[in-house]
Amino acid sequence: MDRCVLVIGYGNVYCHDDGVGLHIVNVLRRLKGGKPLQPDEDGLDDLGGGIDAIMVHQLVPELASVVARYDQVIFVDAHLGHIEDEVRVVPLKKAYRFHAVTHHLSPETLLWMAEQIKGTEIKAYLVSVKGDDFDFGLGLTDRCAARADVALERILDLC
Amino acid sequence: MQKITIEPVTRIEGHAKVTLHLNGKGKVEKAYLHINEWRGFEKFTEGRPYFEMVQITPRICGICPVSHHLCAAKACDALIGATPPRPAKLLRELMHMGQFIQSHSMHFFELAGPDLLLGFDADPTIRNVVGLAQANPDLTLKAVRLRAFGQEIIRKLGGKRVHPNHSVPGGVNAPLSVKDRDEILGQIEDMTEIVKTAIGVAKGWYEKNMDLAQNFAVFPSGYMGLVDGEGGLQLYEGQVRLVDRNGKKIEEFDPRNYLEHIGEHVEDWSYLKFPFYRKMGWPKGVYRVGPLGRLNVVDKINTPMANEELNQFKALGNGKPVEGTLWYHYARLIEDLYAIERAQEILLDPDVLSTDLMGNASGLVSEGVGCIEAPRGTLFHHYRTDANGMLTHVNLIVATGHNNWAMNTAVEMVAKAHVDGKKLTEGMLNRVEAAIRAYDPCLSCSTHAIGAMPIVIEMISAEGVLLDRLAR
Repeated sequence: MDRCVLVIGYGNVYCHDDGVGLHIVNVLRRLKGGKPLQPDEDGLDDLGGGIDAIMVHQLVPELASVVARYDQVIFVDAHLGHIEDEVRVVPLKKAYRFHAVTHHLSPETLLWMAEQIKGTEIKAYLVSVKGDDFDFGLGLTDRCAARADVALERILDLC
Repeated sequence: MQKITIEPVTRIEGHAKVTLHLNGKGKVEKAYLHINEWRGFEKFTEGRPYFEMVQITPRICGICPVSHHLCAAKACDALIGATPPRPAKLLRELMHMGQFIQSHSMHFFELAGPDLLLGFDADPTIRNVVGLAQANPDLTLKAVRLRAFGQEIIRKLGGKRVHPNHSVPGGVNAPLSVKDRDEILGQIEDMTEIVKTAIGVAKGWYEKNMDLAQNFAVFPSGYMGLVDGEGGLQLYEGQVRLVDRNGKKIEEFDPRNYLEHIGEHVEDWSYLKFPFYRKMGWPKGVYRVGPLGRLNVVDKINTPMANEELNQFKALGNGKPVEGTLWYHYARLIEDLYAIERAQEILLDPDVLSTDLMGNASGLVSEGVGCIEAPRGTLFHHYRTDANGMLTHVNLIVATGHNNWAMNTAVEMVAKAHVDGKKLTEGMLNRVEAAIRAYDPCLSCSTHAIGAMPIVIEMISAEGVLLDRLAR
């Protein structure tokens, strides 16, 4: 059964602001009456419909078959200071590109694989939040948490 | 609490840089693959309790965390003097097979596929939209299923697809249920067919591109990998075998004695060390690991279908090791097939359902070594502790390190063959990427932020002037 929207937070939750996706995913899960995820949970086993929200360490190929079940996907990531926007929302188009020395996928490539499986276009956005601290440790900096609230509003507008 | 700060912050993304140094005639004299990433795991784990290593070290990597998880557990087994019971070893090996399936399948279908189907000089925009899956959409779903199958084996045993929690010093912390065993077994036949399809795709490519395969970054080296007592392929445990450039066995040793046989050379232009065989010295004692290395050292594979493919692989070398970098892809698929066959063997073993999962510890000793074949090659974990079990020394030799010299050599050969003049081309960059990618290096998995890890190529004149720069 096709579901509406899948929100995928991704990043290393043990590197402070890199885990901003988990913060946003958990707010969304609470809004729909679901159980928030612990840092080592992904939420892939309780996809329920409406707005689903999961958190993964990296974007990996097998997620394509999950994304292919949705009409819209919103990727949520952190970004570094070289991108000036505190919260950036950009529509995504599929693109096939792999790199020599990494193993995770870009959101565009995952989208490309999902569309190959689904056979139709999937509406997609990348919402990224500027992070200040990527050192080891759980939890967001105050400034990143404030930006995450803004990002959340933008995501709800997209859903 | 001590805190280590690593600057600049861009290192959390990491990057790989290739510099090409030209001679006075404008030809490539030397090429370097610089690994500008430093993770510090060996240092910041000092002072931690030894038993935390089975959960800390998998964070080195998001793709092959199981290798670090299991290798750490084996080093801890040695530290506490415990031998895991046979059922525990079977379950550890089963999880390991799950990792080989997911990692090798991902590499072939998602990473190597474009190299195998597209010309290196293809327009980058075309390379962006044409790929293995577009040529064969049905294969996309199959590839996803195969990778998911490997991940699911890991999840059923360790609770999570990435960074599982299963092995502990002395054994494992959970048995396998009948239901989970049967669910995995129920997919073996389908998964075998998918890998055989992939092997067919690869062979078709090699037949059409034999000249390229036999001439692209081909060079002699030693090879290293684990074998059993009969010279059969082993991925979980065995003796370390080294063969020379002619395929002659030059050493077979207990992994615990690795320091007697393996040295590490350091260059000031890379954070990654260069392991070598001590008796031959640096650089004569360089060797390769991973799928090509393993299949060049073994005499056989103990499962029928993979062994049949091994025989065909061996025939390529006419009695000598197979030297071509692009043959890594075929070797990887043979191991993928082996991993599925071996997983089936383990699942059909009555001991796999046993609850005898923990060995008795005889007492803490001060030193322990673990060794395992990770998908990318031989992995060593070496720990020393004080009387309280706190780590005083940690040494990790990872697969990508063993292949450091080989990747540099491959890049240099490609550069010498394809760089002419003062301008870098996309085709050249594609070839350099393909040479590096064949080794499936793992440089920056655990930490990321938005944006891809860039690869940068710089061309430098004999006078030290930067002539051209290409980044992707």
